[in-house]
Amino acid sequence: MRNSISFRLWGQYALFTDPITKIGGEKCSYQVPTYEAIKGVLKSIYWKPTIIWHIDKVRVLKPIRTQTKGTKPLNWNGGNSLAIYTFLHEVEYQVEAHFVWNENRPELKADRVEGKHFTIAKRMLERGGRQDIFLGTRDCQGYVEPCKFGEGAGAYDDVDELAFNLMFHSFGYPDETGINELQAHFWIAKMKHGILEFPQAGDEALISRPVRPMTAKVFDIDKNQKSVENEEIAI
Amino acid sequence: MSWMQRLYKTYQQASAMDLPDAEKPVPAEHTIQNAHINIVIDKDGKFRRASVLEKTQIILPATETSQNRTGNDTPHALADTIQYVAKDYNDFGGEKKSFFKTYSNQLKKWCDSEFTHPKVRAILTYITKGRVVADLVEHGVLFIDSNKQFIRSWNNKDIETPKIYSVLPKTKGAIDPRTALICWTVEIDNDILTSADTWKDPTLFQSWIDYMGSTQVEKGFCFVSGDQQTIARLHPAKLRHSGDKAKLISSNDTDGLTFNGRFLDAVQAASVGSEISQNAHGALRWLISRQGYKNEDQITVAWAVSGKPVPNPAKDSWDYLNDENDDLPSAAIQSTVDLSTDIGQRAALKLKILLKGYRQNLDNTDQLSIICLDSATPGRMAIVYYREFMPDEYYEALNSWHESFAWFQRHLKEIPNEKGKEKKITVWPQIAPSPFSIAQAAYGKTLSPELKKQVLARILPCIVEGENRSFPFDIVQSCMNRACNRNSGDKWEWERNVGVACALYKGFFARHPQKEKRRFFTMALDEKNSSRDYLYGRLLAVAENLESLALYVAGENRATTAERYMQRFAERPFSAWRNIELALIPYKDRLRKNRAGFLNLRNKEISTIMDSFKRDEFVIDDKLSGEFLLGYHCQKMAYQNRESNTSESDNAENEGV
Repeated sequence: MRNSISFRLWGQYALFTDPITKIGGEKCSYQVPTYEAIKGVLKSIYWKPTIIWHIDKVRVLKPIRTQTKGTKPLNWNGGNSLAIYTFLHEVEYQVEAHFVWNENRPELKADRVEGKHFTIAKRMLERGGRQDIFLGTRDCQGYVEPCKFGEGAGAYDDVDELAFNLMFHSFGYPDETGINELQAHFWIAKMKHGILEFPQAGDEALISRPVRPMTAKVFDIDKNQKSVENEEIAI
Repeated sequence: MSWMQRLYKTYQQASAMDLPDAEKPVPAEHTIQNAHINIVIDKDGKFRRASVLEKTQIILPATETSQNRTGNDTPHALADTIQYVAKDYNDFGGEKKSFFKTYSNQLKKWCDSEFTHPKVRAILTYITKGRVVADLVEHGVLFIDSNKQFIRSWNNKDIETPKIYSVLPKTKGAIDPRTALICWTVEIDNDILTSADTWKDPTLFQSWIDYMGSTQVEKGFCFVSGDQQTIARLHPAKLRHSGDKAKLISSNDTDGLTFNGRFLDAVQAASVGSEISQNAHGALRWLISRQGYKNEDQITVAWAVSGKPVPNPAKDSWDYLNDENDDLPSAAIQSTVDLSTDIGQRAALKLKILLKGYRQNLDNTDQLSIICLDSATPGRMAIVYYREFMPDEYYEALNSWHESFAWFQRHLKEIPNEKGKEKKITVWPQIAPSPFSIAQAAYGKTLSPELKKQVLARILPCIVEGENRSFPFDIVQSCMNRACNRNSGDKWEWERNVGVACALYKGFFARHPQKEKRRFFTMALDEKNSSRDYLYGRLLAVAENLESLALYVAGENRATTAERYMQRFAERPFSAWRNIELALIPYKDRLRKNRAGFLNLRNKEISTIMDSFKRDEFVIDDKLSGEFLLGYHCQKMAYQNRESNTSESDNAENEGV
């Protein structure tokens, strides 16, 4: 596929928080990553408002293992409270993703230069990402490295199907959907032979629900965004 | 998330199960509380009689807010305290404000709706008369003095203290009658089908559930089922016991950092359907009370959605072997264990058969889950471990745990002796140690409740996830260190620690994270094993055995030199052995007189072991690995079994402690 990259993503801990446990503060992780978490990784590798990343496939390589740690999260007014977080331990994924132009931003049309974004993205991937990679929450450090999707043995290659029921998929932000509200998407997660194939926007497998009104941030070339040509020179 | 889905499915199965109503999970829109007074009325609302209830827990209909109430004015639907139910509460010296109005309004609305019930109408008629306290006083349940005020503490020594004073909670020796919960019984004379007690009548539960369903109109997206449902604003507590305030889903943190940011309130962050939440929590509560394993505040439950029995991984396998009232299909309990002979192997076999029995009782498609809950703060509960299994996976994992980590464990068994009385003997079944013994063996007196919880949380994945999950080595290390120290506890504690340490060492190496380092040790004495550590362990056991017999013959009750030197032996075996050998000389002299045969046997054994050492390994003074404990214990157990089979059982260690 055009503008497609594939890489290996790994880390010692991951916390893809289940929203039901999030509100109580005793965060428990989902067993597999959410679309939004992987999108976050991609955005840390390289992102501009001109592009939207789409994730094609995620492959789980290591067996799903949890580890619980007691933590002292901060309170807003100072001091700490106690909570028990359940992380995923020793995770490794292979991701295949591509990007398309963000049609909701007509003002950035001039930035849609064929090939340049892709070159920068590949270069950044080789360097391990432009910004820090994290798996779910910021305290779970992750690392990326380019690889060929599908190579190597995975722990779930022989497992026909693992079902995870309804899971959070991603947020629909106004700059990508074009609607002035924050949406939350869900899907019935299934992992076939270790591979998760997420439904994309518009797919009927994706269940959406509006959260609250929100407006998109405005980006302007050379005012609060560097154009891709200048970016390429700078890197 | 899948655990909520599972619990919801379990609830549906459990309600359909053939159980007496008292043992079913609590339905939605209902809660459990202790009831103190029972008032019996007839269908026209006329008072018949009243009595005090002792230690009775009832299911009562309640609203979401009343389930979570903390002293403000939120009435339950039907059964409630005197402060709510009695119009005449203040007339008799009640100090607090009467909450009668809210209670009766709520009850009236229920009666006027289409989901009314004849019993509820009778109760409404009765309470509007406003004579609840008066009737109770007239019939000797509550007591007033000459000023018509409640008597708060019973001081009259001539008359026996009425039951009400022992049933209600006391503050500073006085009771407060307003906290007495009244439950109703409506006797409708021709009605023999439903129970007169309102808390046992399923038609009443259903009418309340239907009424609540009709009043809630606003719907939202449920994160568990994915469709539109009435959303719960508050989620249930009281999971572990009826006074438990910890909640799994808690949504009141509006000025903290849990969901603020993208979201402006809790419902935006996560919303769960009210019925799903209440039923899932009800199922969890039911499972915890039925088959949960409590370790301080931490609860571990293993269950099958279909409701069939599943062995709990946190429980001691010794308990399973001795459980008289197993809820296990009888086909599995075929073999009886002959306790007078070698219990070791038979125990292991019996356990295997027991597990197989549980497995065969399940279908291949039954869904098993294990959940472990803990709370860091009193108001919130966290999921420490959750995993779903297929039956085969689970049983393979359990079998693997019991095989890899099996070793001689010290347990007490009661057997009837000739006189018919129960006598306790020490037995050494070859089973895996329980998580509790592991925690005790690893930490001893420094074991705090938090540490106990942590140990179980770390070991649980090793028990249930099978042979690919390696055991944490630091626990093995602390067990071994404490096992080498004879003073780590009383004699029986030390013996148990040795058993646990050997089991963990054996299991750790069976599942070593680096495959090339995996080793398998047998429980039988391996006379061909010529590794330095193993042989040194055996030597120590022989020396101990020799000296302990000599002490026994002399009637002395001391720790043997071998036991005292064990720790030093583990650090510097060669020099320690020299000291032990020298110390043995006087004991050998003693035995030469009376037990020459025995002495010869032991001497021969010592020289065989010495010969088995590889050329220069004996003189190396390096620290010994845990394998020496295995050699030590194997040799010791071999002596024990050998002697218990022969008539000449002089060894003092055969007697129970």
